[in-house]
Amino acid sequence: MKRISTLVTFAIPGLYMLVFADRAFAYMDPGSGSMMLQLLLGGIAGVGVIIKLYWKSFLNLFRSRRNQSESLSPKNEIHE
Amino acid sequence: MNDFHAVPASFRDPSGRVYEVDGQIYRTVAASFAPEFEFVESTGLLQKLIADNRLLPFECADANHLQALFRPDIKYVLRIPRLRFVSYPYEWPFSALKAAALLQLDIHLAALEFGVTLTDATAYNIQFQGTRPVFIDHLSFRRYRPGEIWAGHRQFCEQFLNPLLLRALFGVPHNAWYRGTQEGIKAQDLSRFLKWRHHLRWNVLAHVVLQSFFQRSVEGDNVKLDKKSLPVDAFSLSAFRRTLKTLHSWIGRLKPADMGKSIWQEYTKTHSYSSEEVERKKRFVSEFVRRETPRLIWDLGCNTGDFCVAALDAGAEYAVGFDYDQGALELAFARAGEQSLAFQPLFFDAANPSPNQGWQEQERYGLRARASADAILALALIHHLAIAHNIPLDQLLNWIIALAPEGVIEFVPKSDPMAQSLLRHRDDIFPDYTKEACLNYLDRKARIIDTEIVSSTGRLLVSYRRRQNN
Repeated sequence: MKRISTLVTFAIPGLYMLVFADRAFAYMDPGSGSMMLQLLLGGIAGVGVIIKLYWKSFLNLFRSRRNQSESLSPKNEIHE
Repeated sequence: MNDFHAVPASFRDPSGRVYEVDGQIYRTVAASFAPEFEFVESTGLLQKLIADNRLLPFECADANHLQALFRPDIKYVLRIPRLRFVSYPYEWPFSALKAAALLQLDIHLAALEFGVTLTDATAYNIQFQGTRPVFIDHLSFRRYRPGEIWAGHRQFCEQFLNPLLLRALFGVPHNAWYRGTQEGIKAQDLSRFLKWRHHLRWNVLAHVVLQSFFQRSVEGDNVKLDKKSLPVDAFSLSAFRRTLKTLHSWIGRLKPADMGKSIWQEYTKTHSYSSEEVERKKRFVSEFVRRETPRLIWDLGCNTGDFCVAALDAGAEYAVGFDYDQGALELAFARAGEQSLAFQPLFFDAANPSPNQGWQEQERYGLRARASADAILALALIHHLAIAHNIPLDQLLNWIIALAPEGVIEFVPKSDPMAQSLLRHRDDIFPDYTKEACLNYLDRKARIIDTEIVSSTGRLLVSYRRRQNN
């Protein structure tokens, strides 16, 4: 995770500049799905950003499964 | 000044508004947007697009004369020509929506050459002159900022791409769905219909499946898309152009998946009536047009446009044809395009025409509110509505007569094979559907100019002029 994060940070010059900062005359919302797709279509830098965005939820997938299996184990069951 | 009002559809973009003043159409440019407009004009883009007939021409009107009418924060007032007929994407056949999509992409590609981009990608910014699409919004253009994304991409997908894909992938026309939502078809909705084999096509995967997946991720809070997430220069100019060109090439290849022989195409080619009958009808229409000299014709039930062509040949300036058969409309659109006719074929269901709708039910006008025709043609139409849809004959004639001051109506008697086929599986509950009743009602509402029996089965053509008190 940290390696990808570092890679993305160094691979994209101007990462600190933001799309949201430049909204002059954008009278409508471009849509999050479209913005992310355009990052992907933009090339390697955007792909890195997408991976970074999904990395946490990817890890959460395993965490939640582990938590789920722990919570289903008999010792955690609550009997009234 | 007699009449002054803002066009109800023009409220979303604060950079300007459209007004109608004494029948003239004006577009105002807000002072806050004026520097962008001045920049775009200085690039020469607008003049080039106008010279190529891709953008509606405009001229700067005398602001001093008009300024008082508008809000004080108006910098410019543009006078733009009035269109013959305003149509909406939910009325366009597939080929028209496709032509409009290609124009939108062409214009954006041209704009980028001039250092300009478009603020949106709404299909309502395009109108038709015959089958030629023309861009009508002069304020959609603004300075391109290096690295910025295509702000109108989502809107382009919803209003052009996805409705076209609905027909190209599944053979389902976009019109009813589009009319319902008014803003097109969302990627999230279309993606639910896709099979795995569709995912193998990169363009479908990217613009529908992935866009939809990303959108759901953000809406479902699986991904936090915030200010720290997005780099400003991830979407280069070359990526921007590549995306537009890829979409252009892809959409250019799309075809309706259902273009087999439809009932109406069969009807036109094989004719349940003789060609002599068709010639008689054309002659009747031509004589009517020469005598009455209507400039704008509406042909209700135009099929592939035979009678629109006859009317244009006889001197009419513009014909809008309406039909519900998508196959016939495709043939009509292709024919009008190939012959550069002033003929615009549109989808409509006469039993359920376009209503006033949108914000405050005024944003998009219904068919009746746009009734500007000088004459109506309603050939081989009323038996379908009266018998297949149970619409009472007097209501039907009243509706047609109200649409234009004069016209030609064809009455098809029950004995005709086409009327018989409509009655084949049902009881004849139409005792009032007779030639005499039709003529009596017409005579009450209009002055009958001419009549002619055009077939051995008794098909009757009637030309009429509406009475003053109607």
